[in-house]
Amino acid sequence: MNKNHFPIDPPEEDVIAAQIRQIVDTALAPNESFPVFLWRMYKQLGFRHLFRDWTEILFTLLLFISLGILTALAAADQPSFAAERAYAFIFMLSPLVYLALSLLFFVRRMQDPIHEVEMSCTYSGQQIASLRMLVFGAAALLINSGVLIFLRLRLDTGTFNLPLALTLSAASLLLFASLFLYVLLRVRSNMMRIVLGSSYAALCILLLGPNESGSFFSPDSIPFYLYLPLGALFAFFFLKNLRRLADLQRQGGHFSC
Amino acid sequence: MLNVHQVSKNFGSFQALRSIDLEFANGVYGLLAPNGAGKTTLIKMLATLLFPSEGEITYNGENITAMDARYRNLLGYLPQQFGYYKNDSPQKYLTYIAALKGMSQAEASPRIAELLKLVALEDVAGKKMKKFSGGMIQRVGIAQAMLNDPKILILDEPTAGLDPKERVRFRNLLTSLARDRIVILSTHIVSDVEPIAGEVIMIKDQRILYKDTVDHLCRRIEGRVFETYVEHDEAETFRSRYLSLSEKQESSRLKIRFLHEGEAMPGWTPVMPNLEDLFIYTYRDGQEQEDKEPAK
Ligand SMILES: Nc1ncnc2c1ncn2[C@@H]1O[C@H](COP(=O)(O)OP(=O)(O)OP(=O)(O)O)[C@@H](O)[C@H]1O
Ligand SMILES: [Mg+2]
Repeated sequence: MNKNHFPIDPPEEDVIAAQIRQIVDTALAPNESFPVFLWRMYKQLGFRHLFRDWTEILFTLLLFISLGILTALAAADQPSFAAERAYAFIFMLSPLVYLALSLLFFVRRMQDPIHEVEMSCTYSGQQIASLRMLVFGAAALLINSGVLIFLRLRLDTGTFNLPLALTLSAASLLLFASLFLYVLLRVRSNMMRIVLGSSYAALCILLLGPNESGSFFSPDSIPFYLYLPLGALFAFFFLKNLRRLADLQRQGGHFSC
Repeated sequence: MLNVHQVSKNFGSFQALRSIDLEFANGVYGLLAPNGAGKTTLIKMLATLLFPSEGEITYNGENITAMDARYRNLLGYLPQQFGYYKNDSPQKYLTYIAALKGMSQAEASPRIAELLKLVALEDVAGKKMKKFSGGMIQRVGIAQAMLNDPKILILDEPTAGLDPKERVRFRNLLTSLARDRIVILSTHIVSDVEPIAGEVIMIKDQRILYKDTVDHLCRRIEGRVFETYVEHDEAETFRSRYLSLSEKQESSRLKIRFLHEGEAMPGWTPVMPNLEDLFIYTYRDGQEQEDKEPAK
């Protein structure tokens, strides 16, 4: 049979390719899961492209060292203070590393001259931003745990409960991180963002801050294993918000901060 | 095939583009219009950086916003304000963009070397870009846009800052690239598109005024363009009566190329109109546009 005897011209190769992709995409729905997508992107981009330069990492290290020094100084001054107040401090300070990292990133993002080219690439600016937020979260988690283990080794307070400290720190970090992303993505007005941010800080101080009759809420009144499901819940919300950040472009929106 | 269907773009209450219909097949398209006409707005919509307020843009029938990463995978884009990290070298910068474009290290390295050579930057590949001239930066931008061998290459004023030699090189490059891809470039410099554009698109009053070949466009004012010599003291009156298109000092007199709608006078030489003539005629100040028929 003569192959050239088609009554109509075959479609262009482009068109064929696009149609095949469309059919495959439709048939393969649901698409790959978000963690798989992030992992693939991470493997593709590699760690070195997540941070533009070492100043971001240096900044984190400095922050971490000064936090450590401050805590050590406070602990040395008041030996009784450390054990009782440590958990409250952990709850308040754990998100700080994450906040500092994220703010630095978003401040840079606003001045970012490369934005337009990045946006036009296969991996959009938002998708990389979401991966960075995830890496920041993981980095902050590690840094916090490091500080806590360091404190445990340095302070000879028998009452300092390391498992509690670690789970509490992780839960409070994830809670804050998901709230942070939620506000960033869902709250449009800067004024409102500032109000919400200050409210969170005020609430922390009110709940945990020292007053005459002790604090309203003491994190060590809850056993540490209860922080595990809480942490998992917050981690779920965190991932959900990360996904929303990564999907922004697909929905035809741009995030502004 | 890239199609723009009835696209409008509003910025608040200001309408920058209105009911745009366009079709792009492989070849070079020159987007030619004066400052503020909406070239960048149209280009950003084609690059998915802005979304149409109305209408849609499709590639082979699929909405480009819905195609998302699959569309951006086919795209090479040079913004009008090309941003870069001052402390990066072209090598480092291109490596970074290649990663964002989803290219593996093994694919990217030879491609980057090839492109650096193509834009004549291989000798400064490792130097920080903050020491570069404007034209060198622009060439890094051009290389960046071509990294992934895009099927759709969109360039917003790519020749800004290039010297004449580089301009020629760049034009030749685009011609050879356009054989199997869509190349869209915006400019307000007529000579950048006249020799290479398969079709020229002109925007006026937020709409597409023309989309046609250079030849067809020039024919619109055929028979109305003349050249003549005038004395210096007569030049002012001459300009007030006819639309001067270009002027040249020749010995003691002025050689004026101008447009006139009526009968030719003795001493005038009819000449073939060029794209520049049409551009000046189309966008002449204050006067109303008689020729308002939209593009096909
Ligand atoms: N983000 C924006 N908000 C409000 N108005 C805008 C915005 N971007 C563009 N415009 C307006 O839209 C119109 C078209 O602008 P655009 O940048 O597309 O023009 P252009 O043809 O690229 O000009 P140029 O040759 O100077 O680059 C202008 O009047 C401009 O002021
Ligand atoms: Mg422009």
